[in-house]
Order: sequence, then C-alpha cells, then structure tokens
Amino acid sequence: MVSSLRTVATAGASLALLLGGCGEPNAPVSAPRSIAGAAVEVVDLQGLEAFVHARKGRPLLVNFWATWCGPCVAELPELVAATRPFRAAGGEVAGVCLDLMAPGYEVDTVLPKLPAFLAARGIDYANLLFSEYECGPLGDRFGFDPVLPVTLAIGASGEIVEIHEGRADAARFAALAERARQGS
Amino acid sequence: MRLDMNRSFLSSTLTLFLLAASVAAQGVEPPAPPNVQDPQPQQEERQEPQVVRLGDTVRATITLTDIDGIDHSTEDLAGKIVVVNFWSTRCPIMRGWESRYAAIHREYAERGVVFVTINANVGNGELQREGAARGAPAEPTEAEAKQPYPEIRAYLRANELPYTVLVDAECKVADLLQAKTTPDIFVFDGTGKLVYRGLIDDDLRQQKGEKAKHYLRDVLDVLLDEQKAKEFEPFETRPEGCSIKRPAGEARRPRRGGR
Repeated sequence: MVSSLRTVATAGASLALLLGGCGEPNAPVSAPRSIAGAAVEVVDLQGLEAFVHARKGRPLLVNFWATWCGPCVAELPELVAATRPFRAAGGEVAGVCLDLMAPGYEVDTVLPKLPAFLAARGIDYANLLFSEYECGPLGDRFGFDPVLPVTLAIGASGEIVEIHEGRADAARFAALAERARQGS
Repeated sequence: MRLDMNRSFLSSTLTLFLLAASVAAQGVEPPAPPNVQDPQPQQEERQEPQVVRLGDTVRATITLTDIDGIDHSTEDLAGKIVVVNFWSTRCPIMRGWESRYAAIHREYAERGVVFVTINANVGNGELQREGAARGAPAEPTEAEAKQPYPEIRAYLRANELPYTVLVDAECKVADLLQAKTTPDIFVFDGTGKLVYRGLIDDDLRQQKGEKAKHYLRDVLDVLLDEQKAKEFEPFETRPEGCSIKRPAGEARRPRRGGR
C-alpha cells in the first residue's frame, strides 16, 4: 500500500516529509504547493502522527472536522474564542479536516477552498487536511471512533487525556483545554 | 418481511420500557448469555442497565413511531433477524453508502430480514415536522410539504429508498445502543442478541474491488444459513460517519492512543 504526504505550508514552518503509512492514498504524490492565506498542511496518518509528536511538551487540542459537517463548522468560532487563553499560555490547537471521508471530496478540490473558509471564520490556529479516504486507521491510532466532530485533549506528556465526540460549546472547549493543560 | 408489515398500535407516542434484566450489559467479552429464562422479578422503575452491548440480548419492549405516525414495536420482531441502522438525510457519509445499503435492504428483506431505519438527529433540525426540506436532494411535493417530516419524505422519494423511517425523538434507542454515527449498523439474530455492530462495508468509495469486506452482507448470509449461524461469533467494527445529532455531546475517556 502506497501512502502519501503532501505538505502545503504557507505560514512558514513545514514538517518533515515522510512516506509510508496507513490507509488508502487519495491521489498521486505531488510536489509541495503553496496557497496564499491560512496555513493548511496535507497529511496522511504518518504525517499527522509526526505533527502531533512534534508538539510533545506542550498541551494540545486536536479538533477533527469537515466542511460538510454542520456541527463541526458551527463549533469553530467557539473553539477559536474559548481557547485563546489556553493558546496564550503556551497551549496549541490544531484542526484536522476530514473532508475526504465523504465520496466526492478530493484534496485537489478541497485544499484550494480551505484557506478562505478558515479565514472567514477567524481560524487562527494550524489546520491540516487529512489526505486519506479511510479514517478507521486514524481512529485506531488515536483511540476514537471517526464521529465528526471529535476533539482530543492531549497533555504535554503526549497522552490523550480526554476525547469529546460530537459538538462542543465554549465551556466544553475550555474544559478540554484545561484537561490538556493538567495532563494525565 | 418489512417492519411496516408488523405494525403495532400500542402507543401513540414513543415509549421505552426497560424491564429489569431485560438488557444484559455484562460487557463485550465474553458475551452475556441470553436471558430468556431469567426468573428475576421485574422492576419497571429500575434505571440500570440501559445499554445494549455486543452479545447482549434485548428483551425490552421498545416502541417507536414512524414518520407517518404509526407505531412499531419490538414485540413484532420475535424470531426475526433485525438490522437497525441509524440514518440521516444530510450526512454525506451515509449518502455515500445509500445506494448499496438500499440494495441490501431490498435483497435481504425479501429473505425475511427486518430493516429498521432510525433517525435520531434531534439536534440539527432534520426531524423538523414541518417547513422547508433543507438539505434534501429534492423539493418536497405539495403533498409532502403538508405532511410531517417533509425533508425525510423528499429525500426518500428523490432516492427511491425503501425505508420505513422511525423517529427516535429523544435519542432513547440511540442511547440504549450507544449509537454514534450515521450510518451505524446493529444486527440482531433471531433471539434478539446483538451479534454485529459497525460498518456496512469497508469500501465507502468502492475502490477495493475483491479486497473489500462486506460486513453486513456477510453477517446476514451467515445468520440466514442455519448451520453457519450456529458457529457465528458476534463481532464489531469501528463505525464511521457523521455524529448523531443529540441535543448535547458526550465526552468519554480514551481507550488508547497518545503521541
């Protein structure tokens, strides 16, 4: 099984490119591209693991969402606002767009639209576009059922300390951020 | 045999009666034995347990009302293989499986399997009883617009779907089964035991060809074969899809993972 990781880094930092991993590839590997606007990186499962691992030492919230998922989009403004103190104190928030779960969605069609989509909603944290069609391996790796939206609270030690499946409100995001800050 | 051929008129509203010891909730492994002979006295007010897990046998009487206002009771399902699917008109994941699931529905309903299609999306307006059919691939006809649940009616018509859609307006059945997604499949054997939960198949985009695993079809084929059914071991796969739109989300502890 061939796997791909494409990085479309725009805001500066880019991750090391890795080849190999799990799941089905969605398209042939292409050279990294840049898109003006918010940073959006395209990652497969290994790329996502590398992204998360690179943030070890800091509390982290990872929000899995999709543009076609109403509750996911609805909760984004609250995620942004509720986690500002957390981020100001050194915590990180990352969005992982799982649009490709749904048939008809491809990297080449989703990626160009994401920066404007994110900008319009005031998203000021890192976002990744998951390049694999299947999310079972993703759920296996991180220990959740691919039920959108999902938010993981990860402590500085790297342990996932809480999983919230379904839409969250500002208070819930703040609580998840606090759980991540406290760690296990 | 379709569920709508076994309509019960016991109640005009959704009712859920959990009988004491009606639901064995002893965990997934090992499966709890069927509780058919359980002589324990019934306590109708008892609150626990209220979750059905793989291997558990449901002896509860559950009644749900369909979009036409007709009640359907589990009392009518005795001895039948039953497929329960939590379903949505708006979820692109469910839509991706829709035609194949509908084909399975048609094919196996002819062989006596009962299909129960439940919409429990109380939190996104999908179960709106009147008004515009938001998200449906077809505008409701004038007649549909005057009937309850115009969005569901328009969607069923546009896609020529054979489902009888039951409304889980309080998410009680979704909670009982711990259903998470649309779709989320639950298969019960003729004794009422939950023997499979999870995916329809593992090839949503239909790219795997012969490597695809057709879980639901395979489970039904085994259950319909008297000899094979005796050796069938319950199993589950990880459901994928849109979250069921409950009024409020639920958090839980992680099973595993980390970085």
